Amino acid sequence: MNLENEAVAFDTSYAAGCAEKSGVDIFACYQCEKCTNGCPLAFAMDVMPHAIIRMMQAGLMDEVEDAVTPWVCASCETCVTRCPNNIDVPRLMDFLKQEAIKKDIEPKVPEVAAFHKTFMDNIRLFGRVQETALMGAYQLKGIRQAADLISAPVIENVKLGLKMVAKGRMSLIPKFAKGKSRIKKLF
Amino acid sequence: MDLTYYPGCSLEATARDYDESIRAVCEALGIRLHELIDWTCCGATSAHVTSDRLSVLLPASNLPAAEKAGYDVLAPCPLCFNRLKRAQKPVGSNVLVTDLNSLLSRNEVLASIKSAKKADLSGIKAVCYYGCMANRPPKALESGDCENPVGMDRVAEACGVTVIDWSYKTDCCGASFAVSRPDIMTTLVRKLYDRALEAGAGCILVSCQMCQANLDMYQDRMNRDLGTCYDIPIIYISEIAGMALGLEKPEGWFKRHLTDPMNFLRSKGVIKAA
Repeated sequence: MNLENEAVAFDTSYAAGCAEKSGVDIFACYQCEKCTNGCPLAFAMDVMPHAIIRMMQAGLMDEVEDAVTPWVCASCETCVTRCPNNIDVPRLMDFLKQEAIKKDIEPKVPEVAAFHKTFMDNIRLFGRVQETALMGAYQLKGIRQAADLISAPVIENVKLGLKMVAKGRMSLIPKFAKGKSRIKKLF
Repeated sequence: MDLTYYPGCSLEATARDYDESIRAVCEALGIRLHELIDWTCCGATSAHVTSDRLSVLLPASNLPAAEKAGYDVLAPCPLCFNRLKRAQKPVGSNVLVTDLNSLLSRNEVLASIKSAKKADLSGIKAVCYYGCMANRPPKALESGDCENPVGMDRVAEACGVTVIDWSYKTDCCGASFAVSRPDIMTTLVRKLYDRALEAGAGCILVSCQMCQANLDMYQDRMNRDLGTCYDIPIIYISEIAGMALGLEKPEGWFKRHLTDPMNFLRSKGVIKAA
C-alpha cells in the first residue's frame, strides 16, 4: 500500500474519549519526541511515549492496550516537565493502567500491578505503610506452589529482609496508625 | 523556627536513619519539629497509579490538622512532599509545604550551619543526587530549578564537603521498580554509580529515602551477579549536616546503611579511626 498517495482517515473518537476522561490534551501533541528523548525508562518500553500518543490520536486502541509502556513508566515526570505543549504524559500512562484494570485486561507487567495493589491494601489495613508486611504480602502473591517458597529470588529477598531487620531498618511488628479510621472510609 | 513535621511511612521503618538525623540536626539548629497528629500515608506512587480519587484524598486528609497547627510543614520524603503539595490545590489548602533541601538551603539556615560547624568534611568528595520527586513537575511543586537543582549542593558546601557538579542530579533511579522489576532498577542505578565515579565522587549524597535504599541496598547483589565492585556510600544530606555540626550520633545512623560508609569516612579523616 502506498500511503503517500492515500488519504488516511483517523478515527479520533478513542482519543477524544480518553482526553475527556483523563483530562490530558492528547491532540496537542505534534510529535517533537522530547518525551521519548528524555525518558530514562525508554530502554524498557516496547512503544515509545510519543508513539503511544500518536497511536491514540489514530484510534489504535488495541495496539495501545497491548503495549508494555504504561506499566514501566516510573512517573519520574521528566516528559511532562519538558513537553512544549504541557501534555501530562505520566498522567496519561496512569490513565491507561487504570483503564486496563477497569476493563479486566491482563496487566502487561503483572508484577507492577500486583505491587501497587498490595501497597494500597497495606494502607487500608494499617493507615501507614508497614514495609515488612508489604514486602511479605507481595512475596506471597507470587507463590503458586510450595516449591516457590524456596525459589532463589524468594530466598534472596528473605535474606535481604533479615539483614534489614538486623540493621534496625525493618521491624517484624506492624503498627496501626491512629488516623487509620479516618482514611478507611475513603477507600 | 517551629515546623509541623510529616515524616511519612518509611521514615518510621527502613529510613529511621534519615528521620533521626533530621530531628537531631533540626534540634541543633534551633528548628523545633512538631510531628503532625495522627498522620496517615500519602498514598505515594501506588495511589496515583490506581485511583485519581485516592491520589488526592489520601494526602489531603492530613492537611486539616496541618492547617490547624499553623506552622509550615516539613515533608522530608520527596514522595510525600510531592503528593501533599499536589493535593493542596484541589482541596484549597494554603499551608506551606517544604522539602528538606529547600528548608536547609534557606539563607538563615545556611548561615547557622556555617557558624555552628565543628568538623572538617573537606576530605569528602561528593555528588548530590536529588531524584525525581522533589522538583518535578515544577509548576505543581513551585520548583524553580527542576533541571539543575542546587539546594543540596549549597547545604553540602556549607557543611564543608567538596561538592562535584554532574549531569545526573535528577535522573530517575527506578526505586519504584526495585521490588517488582529489579532488572529495570539495576540498569538505572548502574548508570548513576558509573557517572558519579567518573565525576570523581567518593560518595553520593541524597535527600530521598527511596533513592537511598535503592542505591545503598543492592550493591552486594550487583557485585556478585554482574562482576562489578561497587562500594559507594550513599549518605543523607542530614547525616552530612549532623557530622559537620559535630553531633555524637552519626555513627549510630551509619550502622543502618547496607553499604557501610565508615571505612570511607575514616579514610577521609572525618570519623576517627577506631
